[in-house]
Amino acid sequence: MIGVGKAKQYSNVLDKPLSKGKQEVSLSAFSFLFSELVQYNQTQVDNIAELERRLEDAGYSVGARVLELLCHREKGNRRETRLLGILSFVHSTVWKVLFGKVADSLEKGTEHEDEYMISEKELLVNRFISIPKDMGTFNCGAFVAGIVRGVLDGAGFPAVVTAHFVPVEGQQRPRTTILIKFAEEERSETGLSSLHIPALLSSNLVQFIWSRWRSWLLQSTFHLLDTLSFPIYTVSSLTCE
Amino acid sequence: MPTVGPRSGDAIFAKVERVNAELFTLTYGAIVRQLLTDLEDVEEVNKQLDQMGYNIGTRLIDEFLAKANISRCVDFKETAEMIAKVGFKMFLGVTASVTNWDIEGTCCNMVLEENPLVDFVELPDTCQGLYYCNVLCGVIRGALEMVSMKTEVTWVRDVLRGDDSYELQVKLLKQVPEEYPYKDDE
Repeated sequence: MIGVGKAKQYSNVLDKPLSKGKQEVSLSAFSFLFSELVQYNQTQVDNIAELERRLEDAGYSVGARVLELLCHREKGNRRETRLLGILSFVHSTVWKVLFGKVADSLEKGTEHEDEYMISEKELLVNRFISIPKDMGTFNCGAFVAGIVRGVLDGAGFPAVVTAHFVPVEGQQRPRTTILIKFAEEERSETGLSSLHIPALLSSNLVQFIWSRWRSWLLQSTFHLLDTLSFPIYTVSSLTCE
Repeated sequence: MPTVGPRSGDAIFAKVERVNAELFTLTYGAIVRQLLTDLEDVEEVNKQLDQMGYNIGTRLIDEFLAKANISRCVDFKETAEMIAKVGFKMFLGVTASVTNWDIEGTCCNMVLEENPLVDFVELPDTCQGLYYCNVLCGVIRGALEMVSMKTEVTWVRDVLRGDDSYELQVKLLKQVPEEYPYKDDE
Protein backbone atom coordinates (compact mmCIF):
# COMPACT_ATOMS: atom_id res chain seq x y z
CA MET A 1 0.00 0.00 0.00
CA ILE A 2 2.70 2.45 -0.85
CA GLY A 3 1.50 5.96 -1.27
CA VAL A 4 -1.80 5.41 0.45
CA GLY A 5 -2.46 7.90 3.15
CA LYS A 6 0.93 9.51 2.81
CA ALA A 7 0.52 12.94 4.21
CA LYS A 8 3.16 15.27 2.89
CA GLN A 9 5.71 16.15 5.49
CA TYR A 10 6.47 19.71 6.36
CA SER A 11 9.14 20.64 8.80
CA ASN A 12 7.01 23.43 10.13
CA VAL A 13 3.28 23.97 10.20
CA LEU A 14 3.80 27.39 8.64
CA ASP A 15 5.39 25.87 5.55
CA LYS A 16 2.21 24.05 4.83
CA PRO A 17 0.04 25.80 2.28
CA LEU A 18 -3.00 27.38 3.83
CA SER A 19 -6.19 25.50 3.05
CA LYS A 20 -8.84 27.28 1.03
CA GLY A 21 -11.35 26.65 3.77
CA LYS A 22 -13.72 24.74 1.51
CA GLN A 23 -13.51 21.46 3.37
CA GLU A 24 -16.50 20.37 5.33
CA VAL A 25 -17.44 17.90 8.01
CA SER A 26 -20.92 16.79 8.91
CA LEU A 27 -22.93 19.01 11.20
CA SER A 28 -23.44 16.07 13.54
CA ALA A 29 -19.70 15.59 13.92
CA PHE A 30 -19.42 19.19 15.05
CA SER A 31 -22.47 18.95 17.27
CA PHE A 32 -21.20 15.82 18.99
CA LEU A 33 -17.89 17.51 19.61
CA PHE A 34 -19.50 20.69 20.86
CA SER A 35 -21.72 18.76 23.21
CA GLU A 36 -18.63 17.07 24.65
CA LEU A 37 -17.06 20.50 25.14
CA VAL A 38 -20.12 21.63 27.10
CA GLN A 39 -20.39 18.42 29.10
CA TYR A 40 -16.73 18.38 29.99
CA ASN A 41 -16.86 21.97 31.16
CA GLN A 42 -19.94 21.20 33.20
CA THR A 43 -17.84 18.82 35.26
CA GLN A 44 -15.36 21.59 35.96
CA VAL A 45 -17.66 24.21 37.41
CA ASP A 46 -20.29 24.65 40.04
CA ASN A 47 -22.37 27.46 38.65
CA ILE A 48 -23.79 28.68 35.37
CA ALA A 49 -21.75 31.88 35.20
CA GLU A 50 -18.56 29.90 35.52
CA LEU A 51 -19.68 27.47 32.83
CA GLU A 52 -20.44 30.32 30.45
CA ARG A 53 -17.09 31.87 31.21
CA ARG A 54 -15.28 28.66 30.37
CA LEU A 55 -17.19 28.23 27.12
CA GLU A 56 -16.39 31.83 26.29
CA ASP A 57 -12.71 31.20 26.93
CA ALA A 58 -12.78 28.25 24.57
CA GLY A 59 -14.49 30.43 21.97
CA TYR A 60 -12.02 33.24 22.51
CA SER A 61 -9.13 31.05 21.43
CA VAL A 62 -11.07 30.12 18.31
CA GLY A 63 -11.84 33.77 17.56
CA ALA A 64 -8.24 34.87 17.88
CA ARG A 65 -7.22 32.28 15.31
CA VAL A 66 -10.13 32.97 13.01
CA LEU A 67 -9.15 36.63 12.87
CA GLU A 68 -5.61 35.88 11.76
CA LEU A 69 -6.71 33.21 9.34
CA LEU A 70 -9.40 35.29 7.65
CA CYS A 71 -7.42 38.52 7.49
CA HIS A 72 -4.73 36.57 5.76
CA ARG A 73 -6.91 34.56 3.43
CA GLU A 74 -9.93 36.72 2.71
CA LYS A 75 -8.59 40.21 3.21
CA GLY A 76 -5.13 40.06 1.65
CA ASN A 77 -3.37 40.52 4.96
CA ARG A 78 -5.38 43.56 5.87
CA ARG A 79 -7.29 44.02 9.02
CA GLU A 80 -10.20 46.30 9.71
CA THR A 81 -9.15 49.23 11.81
CA ARG A 82 -12.51 50.90 12.16
CA LEU A 83 -15.06 49.88 14.71
CA LEU A 84 -17.91 49.53 12.24
CA GLY A 85 -15.58 47.86 9.78
CA ILE A 86 -14.63 45.16 12.22
CA LEU A 87 -18.25 44.69 13.28
CA SER A 88 -19.29 44.17 9.71
CA PHE A 89 -16.34 41.82 9.29
CA VAL A 90 -17.64 39.72 12.19
CA HIS A 91 -21.23 39.89 11.03
CA SER A 92 -20.50 38.91 7.45
CA THR A 93 -17.05 37.43 6.79
CA VAL A 94 -16.53 35.56 10.04
CA TRP A 95 -20.13 34.34 10.21
CA LYS A 96 -20.08 33.23 6.60
CA VAL A 97 -16.95 31.18 7.02
CA LEU A 98 -17.82 29.63 10.36
CA PHE A 99 -21.55 29.18 10.06
CA GLY A 100 -22.10 29.18 6.32
CA LYS A 101 -24.27 32.30 6.31
CA VAL A 102 -24.20 35.96 7.17
CA ALA A 103 -25.66 36.68 10.60
CA ASP A 104 -29.35 37.58 10.58
CA SER A 105 -28.83 41.09 11.84
CA LEU A 106 -26.41 43.59 13.26
CA GLU A 107 -27.97 46.31 15.32
CA LYS A 108 -26.85 49.24 17.38
CA GLY A 109 -28.26 49.77 20.82
CA THR A 110 -29.92 53.12 21.38
CA GLU A 111 -29.65 53.38 25.12
CA HIS A 112 -25.93 52.95 25.11
CA GLU A 113 -23.75 54.31 22.34
CA ASP A 114 -21.20 51.57 22.73
CA GLU A 115 -23.48 48.55 22.43
CA TYR A 116 -24.08 46.46 19.36
CA MET A 117 -26.00 43.27 18.84
CA ILE A 118 -25.66 40.43 16.43
CA SER A 119 -28.77 38.29 16.32
CA GLU A 120 -29.35 34.88 14.89
CA LYS A 121 -32.65 33.09 14.68
CA GLU A 122 -31.09 29.73 15.21
CA LEU A 123 -27.47 29.85 16.23
CA LEU A 124 -25.61 26.82 14.94
CA VAL A 125 -24.35 25.78 18.35
CA ASN A 126 -27.85 26.01 19.84
CA ARG A 127 -29.47 23.89 17.13
CA PHE A 128 -29.52 20.69 19.09
CA ILE A 129 -29.38 22.09 22.57
CA SER A 130 -32.24 22.42 24.94
CA ILE A 131 -31.57 23.96 28.29
CA PRO A 132 -32.90 22.16 31.34
CA LYS A 133 -35.18 24.31 33.49
CA ASP A 134 -32.82 24.30 36.43
CA MET A 135 -30.06 25.89 34.34
CA GLY A 136 -31.98 29.12 33.99
CA THR A 137 -30.54 31.57 31.52
CA PHE A 138 -27.58 29.47 30.48
CA ASN A 139 -26.82 29.89 26.79
CA CYS A 140 -24.32 27.78 24.86
CA GLY A 141 -23.99 30.79 22.60
CA ALA A 142 -21.37 31.87 25.16
CA PHE A 143 -18.99 29.93 22.95
CA VAL A 144 -19.89 32.10 19.96
CA ALA A 145 -19.74 35.21 22.16
CA GLY A 146 -16.20 34.12 22.97
CA ILE A 147 -15.37 33.80 19.29
CA VAL A 148 -16.65 37.34 18.69
CA ARG A 149 -14.68 38.65 21.65
CA GLY A 150 -11.55 36.87 20.37
CA VAL A 151 -11.88 38.46 16.95
CA LEU A 152 -12.58 41.94 18.33
CA ASP A 153 -9.86 41.78 20.93
CA GLY A 154 -7.29 40.57 18.43
CA ALA A 155 -8.20 43.46 16.14
CA GLY A 156 -7.69 45.97 18.93
CA PHE A 157 -11.29 46.52 19.97
CA PRO A 158 -11.66 44.96 23.39
CA ALA A 159 -15.26 44.37 24.33
CA VAL A 160 -17.44 42.48 26.74
CA VAL A 161 -19.48 40.01 24.72
CA THR A 162 -22.38 37.97 26.05
CA ALA A 163 -25.02 35.68 24.58
CA HIS A 164 -28.71 35.89 25.45
CA PHE A 165 -31.93 34.23 24.47
CA VAL A 166 -34.54 36.66 23.28
CA PRO A 167 -38.10 35.39 22.83
CA VAL A 168 -39.57 36.03 19.42
CA GLU A 169 -43.29 36.53 19.00
CA GLY A 170 -44.99 33.66 17.28
CA GLN A 171 -41.89 31.48 17.44
CA GLN A 172 -41.42 28.59 19.74
CA ARG A 173 -37.70 28.93 20.05
CA PRO A 174 -36.06 32.16 21.10
CA ARG A 175 -33.42 33.77 18.97
CA THR A 176 -29.92 34.27 20.27
CA THR A 177 -28.52 37.74 20.55
CA ILE A 178 -24.83 38.34 20.95
CA LEU A 179 -24.46 41.57 22.86
CA ILE A 180 -21.23 43.46 22.31
CA LYS A 181 -20.32 46.22 24.71
CA PHE A 182 -17.13 47.99 23.79
CA ALA A 183 -14.65 49.16 26.32
CA GLU A 184 -14.87 52.87 27.03
CA GLU A 185 -12.11 54.11 24.76
CA GLU A 186 -13.40 52.25 21.70
CA ARG A 187 -16.62 54.16 21.59
CA SER A 188 -15.96 56.29 18.59
CA GLU A 189 -14.37 55.70 15.29
CA THR A 190 -10.65 56.05 15.14
CA GLY A 191 -10.33 57.58 11.72
CA LEU A 192 -7.53 55.20 10.95
CA SER A 193 -9.23 53.94 7.82
CA SER A 194 -6.37 54.74 5.49
CA LEU A 195 -3.89 52.90 7.63
CA HIS A 196 -3.78 49.16 7.56
CA ILE A 197 -1.69 47.05 9.80
CA PRO A 198 -0.85 43.59 8.53
CA ALA A 199 -2.80 41.06 10.54
CA LEU A 200 0.16 38.81 11.00
CA LEU A 201 2.08 41.49 12.82
CA SER A 202 -0.24 41.35 15.75
CA SER A 203 2.41 40.79 18.30
CA ASN A 204 1.93 42.35 21.69
CA LEU A 205 4.36 45.10 20.91
CA VAL A 206 2.57 46.19 17.78
CA GLN A 207 -0.71 46.00 19.63
CA PHE A 208 0.69 48.17 22.35
CA ILE A 209 2.10 50.83 20.09
CA TRP A 210 -1.00 50.77 18.01
CA SER A 211 -3.38 51.22 20.91
CA ARG A 212 -1.30 54.15 22.22
CA TRP A 213 -1.39 55.70 18.83
CA ARG A 214 -5.06 55.13 18.43
CA SER A 215 -5.96 56.73 21.71
CA TRP A 216 -3.98 59.74 20.57
CA LEU A 217 -5.83 59.82 17.30
CA LEU A 218 -9.11 59.48 19.12
CA GLN A 219 -9.06 63.18 19.69
CA SER A 220 -10.03 63.68 16.10
CA THR A 221 -13.08 61.51 16.00
CA PHE A 222 -15.93 61.70 13.62
CA HIS A 223 -19.02 59.81 12.76
CA LEU A 224 -18.93 57.28 10.01
CA LEU A 225 -22.44 55.97 10.29
CA ASP A 226 -23.42 57.20 6.85
CA THR A 227 -20.55 55.47 5.10
CA LEU A 228 -21.71 52.07 6.15
CA SER A 229 -21.98 49.37 3.59
CA PHE A 230 -24.45 47.37 5.66
CA PRO A 231 -27.67 48.40 7.28
CA ILE A 232 -27.61 49.27 10.92
CA TYR A 233 -31.01 49.21 12.51
CA THR A 234 -31.68 51.15 15.56
CA VAL A 235 -33.87 49.46 18.08
CA SER A 236 -35.89 51.20 20.68
CA SER A 237 -34.56 49.36 23.66
CA LEU A 238 -32.42 46.47 24.63
CA THR A 239 -34.59 43.53 25.42
CA CYS A 240 -31.88 41.17 26.30
CA GLU A 241 -30.36 42.17 29.55
CA MET B 1 -22.56 -12.48 -2.78
CA PRO B 2 -25.17 -10.13 -1.48
CA THR B 3 -24.08 -6.60 -0.97
CA VAL B 4 -24.52 -5.26 2.51
CA GLY B 5 -24.89 -1.63 1.64
CA PRO B 6 -23.02 1.26 0.24
CA ARG B 7 -19.34 0.81 -0.38
CA SER B 8 -18.68 4.46 0.04
CA GLY B 9 -20.22 7.15 2.14
CA ASP B 10 -20.05 9.80 -0.58
CA ALA B 11 -23.77 9.85 -1.25
CA ILE B 12 -24.62 10.03 2.43
CA PHE B 13 -22.09 12.77 3.07
CA ALA B 14 -23.56 14.75 0.21
CA LYS B 15 -26.99 14.50 1.79
CA VAL B 16 -26.26 15.35 5.41
CA GLU B 17 -25.98 18.89 6.70
CA ARG B 18 -22.41 20.06 6.82
CA VAL B 19 -20.33 22.75 8.45
CA ASN B 20 -17.01 24.30 7.63
CA ALA B 21 -14.22 21.98 8.70
CA GLU B 22 -12.26 24.91 10.13
CA LEU B 23 -14.90 25.59 12.76
CA PHE B 24 -14.63 21.92 13.70
CA THR B 25 -10.83 21.93 13.68
CA LEU B 26 -10.52 25.09 15.75
CA THR B 27 -13.16 23.96 18.22
CA TYR B 28 -11.34 20.69 18.68
CA GLY B 29 -8.14 22.63 19.20
CA ALA B 30 -9.86 24.72 21.85
CA ILE B 31 -10.94 21.54 23.64
CA VAL B 32 -7.45 20.07 23.61
CA ARG B 33 -5.95 23.33 24.87
CA GLN B 34 -8.50 23.50 27.65
CA LEU B 35 -7.72 19.94 28.68
CA LEU B 36 -4.00 20.62 28.67
CA THR B 37 -4.50 23.64 30.91
CA ASP B 38 -6.88 21.86 33.28
CA LEU B 39 -5.23 18.48 33.58
CA GLU B 40 -1.61 19.55 33.19
CA ASP B 41 -0.59 16.03 32.31
CA VAL B 42 -0.36 14.74 28.76
CA GLU B 43 -1.33 11.20 29.74
CA GLU B 44 -4.44 12.45 31.48
CA VAL B 45 -5.34 14.48 28.42
CA ASN B 46 -4.98 11.40 26.22
CA LYS B 47 -7.32 9.57 28.53
CA GLN B 48 -9.87 12.35 28.64
CA LEU B 49 -9.86 12.73 24.85
CA ASP B 50 -10.44 9.00 24.52
CA GLN B 51 -13.30 9.22 27.01
CA MET B 52 -14.89 12.10 25.12
CA GLY B 53 -14.59 10.10 21.93
CA TYR B 54 -16.18 7.12 23.63
CA ASN B 55 -19.14 9.25 24.71
CA ILE B 56 -19.50 10.50 21.15
CA GLY B 57 -19.17 7.00 19.70
CA THR B 58 -21.94 5.55 21.82
CA ARG B 59 -24.34 8.15 20.45
CA LEU B 60 -22.96 8.48 16.96
CA ILE B 61 -23.58 4.81 16.17
CA ASP B 62 -27.34 5.44 16.21
CA GLU B 63 -27.07 8.07 13.55
CA PHE B 64 -24.70 5.91 11.57
CA LEU B 65 -27.08 2.95 11.56
CA ALA B 66 -30.05 5.15 10.80
CA LYS B 67 -28.51 6.92 7.84
CA ALA B 68 -25.96 4.51 6.41
CA ASN B 69 -28.63 2.08 5.25
CA ILE B 70 -26.56 -1.04 5.83
CA SER B 71 -27.43 -4.48 6.98
CA ARG B 72 -25.49 -6.58 9.43
CA CYS B 73 -21.81 -7.04 8.66
CA VAL B 74 -20.86 -10.69 8.39
CA ASP B 75 -17.47 -10.40 10.02
CA PHE B 76 -15.07 -7.97 11.60
CA LYS B 77 -13.33 -7.43 8.27
CA GLU B 78 -16.48 -6.07 6.80
CA THR B 79 -17.10 -3.96 9.89
CA ALA B 80 -13.70 -2.38 9.57
CA GLU B 81 -14.23 -1.64 5.88
CA MET B 82 -17.57 -0.09 6.69
CA ILE B 83 -16.04 2.21 9.28
CA ALA B 84 -13.23 3.22 6.98
CA LYS B 85 -15.27 3.81 3.86
CA VAL B 86 -18.68 4.85 5.14
CA GLY B 87 -18.22 5.94 8.75
CA PHE B 88 -15.30 8.29 8.33
CA LYS B 89 -16.82 9.70 5.15
CA MET B 90 -20.22 10.27 6.63
CA PHE B 91 -19.00 12.27 9.59
CA LEU B 92 -15.64 13.75 8.66
CA GLY B 93 -15.81 13.72 4.88
CA VAL B 94 -12.63 11.70 4.59
CA THR B 95 -11.90 8.05 3.95
CA ALA B 96 -9.46 5.60 5.42
CA SER B 97 -7.95 2.44 4.04
CA VAL B 98 -7.79 -0.78 5.97
CA THR B 99 -4.48 -2.62 5.95
CA ASN B 100 -2.32 -5.06 7.86
CA TRP B 101 -4.85 -7.72 8.77
CA ASP B 102 -3.59 -10.38 11.14
CA ILE B 103 -4.26 -14.03 10.31
CA GLU B 104 -7.30 -14.36 12.56
CA GLY B 105 -8.91 -11.30 11.03
CA THR B 106 -9.36 -9.59 14.37
CA CYS B 107 -6.78 -6.85 14.17
CA CYS B 108 -6.16 -4.31 11.45
CA ASN B 109 -4.81 -0.85 10.83
CA MET B 110 -6.71 2.07 9.40
CA VAL B 111 -4.75 4.67 7.51
CA LEU B 112 -6.40 8.04 7.28
CA GLU B 113 -5.90 9.76 3.96
CA GLU B 114 -6.76 13.15 5.37
CA ASN B 115 -7.34 14.25 8.90
CA PRO B 116 -9.48 17.32 9.46
CA LEU B 117 -8.56 17.46 13.14
CA VAL B 118 -4.98 18.50 12.63
CA ASP B 119 -5.09 21.53 10.36
CA PHE B 120 -2.94 24.32 11.84
CA VAL B 121 -1.58 21.99 14.50
CA GLU B 122 1.98 21.53 15.62
CA LEU B 123 2.88 19.87 18.90
CA PRO B 124 5.16 21.93 21.12
CA ASP B 125 8.03 20.19 22.91
CA THR B 126 6.06 20.03 26.12
CA CYS B 127 3.32 17.93 24.53
CA GLN B 128 5.33 15.28 22.76
CA GLY B 129 3.49 12.43 24.45
CA LEU B 130 0.12 13.76 23.35
CA TYR B 131 -2.06 11.72 21.02
CA TYR B 132 -3.71 14.78 19.60
CA CYS B 133 -6.39 12.87 17.72
CA ASN B 134 -7.11 10.39 20.47
CA VAL B 135 -10.77 11.33 20.31
CA LEU B 136 -11.07 9.23 17.15
CA CYS B 137 -9.92 6.10 18.99
CA GLY B 138 -12.63 6.67 21.54
CA VAL B 139 -15.27 7.20 18.90
CA ILE B 140 -14.53 3.89 17.18
CA ARG B 141 -14.31 2.03 20.47
CA GLY B 142 -17.56 3.54 21.74
CA ALA B 143 -19.46 2.96 18.53
CA LEU B 144 -18.35 -0.67 18.22
CA GLU B 145 -19.16 -1.38 21.82
CA MET B 146 -22.74 -0.41 21.10
CA VAL B 147 -22.90 -3.09 18.44
CA SER B 148 -21.51 -5.76 20.76
CA MET B 149 -17.85 -5.56 19.90
CA LYS B 150 -15.26 -4.87 22.54
CA THR B 151 -12.26 -3.34 20.85
CA GLU B 152 -9.00 -1.68 21.64
CA VAL B 153 -8.09 1.24 19.42
CA THR B 154 -4.67 2.87 19.51
CA TRP B 155 -2.59 5.16 17.36
CA VAL B 156 0.36 3.51 15.68
CA ARG B 157 1.45 6.40 13.50
CA ASP B 158 0.84 10.08 13.83
CA VAL B 159 2.20 12.76 11.53
CA LEU B 160 2.25 15.21 14.42
CA ARG B 161 4.70 12.92 16.13
CA GLY B 162 6.96 12.66 13.11
CA ASP B 163 5.50 9.64 11.31
CA ASP B 164 4.47 9.74 7.69
CA SER B 165 0.78 8.96 8.08
CA TYR B 166 -2.13 8.79 10.48
CA GLU B 167 -2.67 5.16 11.32
CA LEU B 168 -4.94 3.58 13.89
CA GLN B 169 -4.86 0.01 15.09
CA VAL B 170 -8.23 -1.56 15.77
CA LYS B 171 -8.14 -4.82 17.66
CA LEU B 172 -11.23 -6.90 18.33
CA LEU B 173 -11.02 -8.20 21.88
CA LYS B 174 -14.29 -10.07 22.04
CA GLN B 175 -17.68 -10.19 20.56
CA VAL B 176 -20.24 -9.80 23.29
CA PRO B 177 -23.29 -11.97 22.73
CA GLU B 178 -26.39 -9.86 22.43
CA GLU B 179 -28.35 -9.57 25.61
CA TYR B 180 -31.81 -8.26 25.75
CA PRO B 181 -32.19 -5.74 28.49
CA TYR B 182 -35.84 -6.47 29.08
CA LYS B 183 -37.18 -9.43 30.97
CA ASP B 184 -39.62 -11.97 29.62
CA ASP B 185 -41.82 -12.11 32.67
CA GLU B 186 -43.12 -8.59 32.35
